Amino acid sequence: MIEIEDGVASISLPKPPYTVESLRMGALLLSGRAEAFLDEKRGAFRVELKPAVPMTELELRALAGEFLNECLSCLYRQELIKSAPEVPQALLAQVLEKGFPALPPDPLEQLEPQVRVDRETETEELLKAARKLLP
Amino acid sequence: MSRLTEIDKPPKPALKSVGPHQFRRIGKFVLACDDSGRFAFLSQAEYLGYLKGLKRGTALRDKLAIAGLMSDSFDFDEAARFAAEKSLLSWPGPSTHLLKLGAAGRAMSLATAKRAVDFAFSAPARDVGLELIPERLESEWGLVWFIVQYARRQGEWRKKAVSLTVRVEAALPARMKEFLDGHRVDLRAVVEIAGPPSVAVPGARRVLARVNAPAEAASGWIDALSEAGVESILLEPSGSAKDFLAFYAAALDRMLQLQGRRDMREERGLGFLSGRRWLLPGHDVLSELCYAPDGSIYSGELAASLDEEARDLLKLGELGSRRFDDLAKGPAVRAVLAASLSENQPMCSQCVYRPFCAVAPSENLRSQGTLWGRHPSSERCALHMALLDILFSRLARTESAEALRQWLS
Ligand code: SF4
Repeated sequence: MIEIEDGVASISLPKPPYTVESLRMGALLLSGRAEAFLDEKRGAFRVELKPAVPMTELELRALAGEFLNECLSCLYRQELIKSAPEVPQALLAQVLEKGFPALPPDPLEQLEPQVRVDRETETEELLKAARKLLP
Repeated sequence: MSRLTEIDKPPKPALKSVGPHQFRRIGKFVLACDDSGRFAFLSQAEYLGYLKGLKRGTALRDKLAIAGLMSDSFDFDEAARFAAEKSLLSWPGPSTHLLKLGAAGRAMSLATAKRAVDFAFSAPARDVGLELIPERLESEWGLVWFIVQYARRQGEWRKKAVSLTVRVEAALPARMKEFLDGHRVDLRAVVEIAGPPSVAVPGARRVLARVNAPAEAASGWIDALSEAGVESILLEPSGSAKDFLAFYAAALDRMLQLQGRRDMREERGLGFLSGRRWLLPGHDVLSELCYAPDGSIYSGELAASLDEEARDLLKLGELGSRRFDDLAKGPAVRAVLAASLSENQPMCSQCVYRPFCAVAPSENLRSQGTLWGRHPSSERCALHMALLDILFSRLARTESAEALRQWLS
């Protein structure tokens, strides 16, 4: 399934089970080390891996193996996520949905503008004194 | 070969009574654990009997029912309460904010330091932990001086409990020590555990120890550090994994022996046992955020130290332009949280330690080039599994179990 020619590894992969998403994850793993080119034909993908620096055939095969490993890991993970208990996914969705609510502004500062002014003045003085301690 | 363990010729489980669980053989025990982290230790014969189906009224059945492992006498309320406490819904947000005061000779500006403190205080957690990581303390002292006082005032203004820590590698000049003591700032000493025991930073209550020493050296080091007042230690390997694990086991045993006289806890072990993944040291976003000298916000300290390309993947924004409530909208936070859910990891989903463990995505990225990691070949997963074996083997022994439980109280 892996062909090596002119310093490039070409891999043919059947469409199910491989998905564009799994190939993307594989390509991400190689970022910086190789460029990945994708061609899609009916029923199959063809991926070409071009290393950033020339590689021996053995190194290139290892690189392609790493790419395939990551694609398979991604496919397995997707299967698992589909069949995983829904509760953890739902909790994560809820946490992300809720976002990370920040603390609302201090009501004392809102009600009493002088409090904010005093605090800003105090902070400014601290900053001024700290500047003197820096080289 | 898988690191997960097997049982010879297990009987077909009596599904009417056997609750959903994972198991692991640890020494002569079998650890059985449910999805939310309730567990029991059984002998191999007891475990096989459990699988076959236990008669009502037996002591073993009662013990397993309390641990939530019997499906026909399941306490749903208790299970729901237990699961909710450990789930992301109880997560208070990142509790440790790490400020790198300098990197590669470039120091943080005072304006950036102020923004970092403001950002940490805009988080909803009731407690704010700031850890300052100087590169060259002497020239960055003005930053420490400002952050400590400003954070203390912010704590008073916003009515939050603030814990302040400065990471140090050597003893401090008296004027600095006096200032930090006066402002209730803890020291976290970075210690190389290699030669004979020594206490390089007097007064440090926390230690980050990089271990490259044999097991025989462990007791001496723990004694020396605890006598010097160290209460909390994070042990990290810096030599061979095998030596580290032997050292860890011996150090843990010594800490448990000293418990009650000079208490010292190991931070990763404590994080595992709590079953709350946001207490695992160094876990991206869940337990920490890290601010670089240039004002970049990273998912954690390790993320901030990766090479540029990897770092960019885990950069969450810039202080000043990113607000805390925008964080969850960014793709990096979403990816980190999804990758932290061990339910989504093929190997973790079959591992008995899943409720206690998670490998930080930045660690996966560093060691395997992918946020998700490939756990069957991950050295971190292997390390976690071995550490959890050590901890759970101590939990199986009555004498050490009590001391370990006190860690959590
Ligand atoms: S990472 Fe932790 S939970 Fe996952 S397989 Fe490894 S030891 Fe088990």
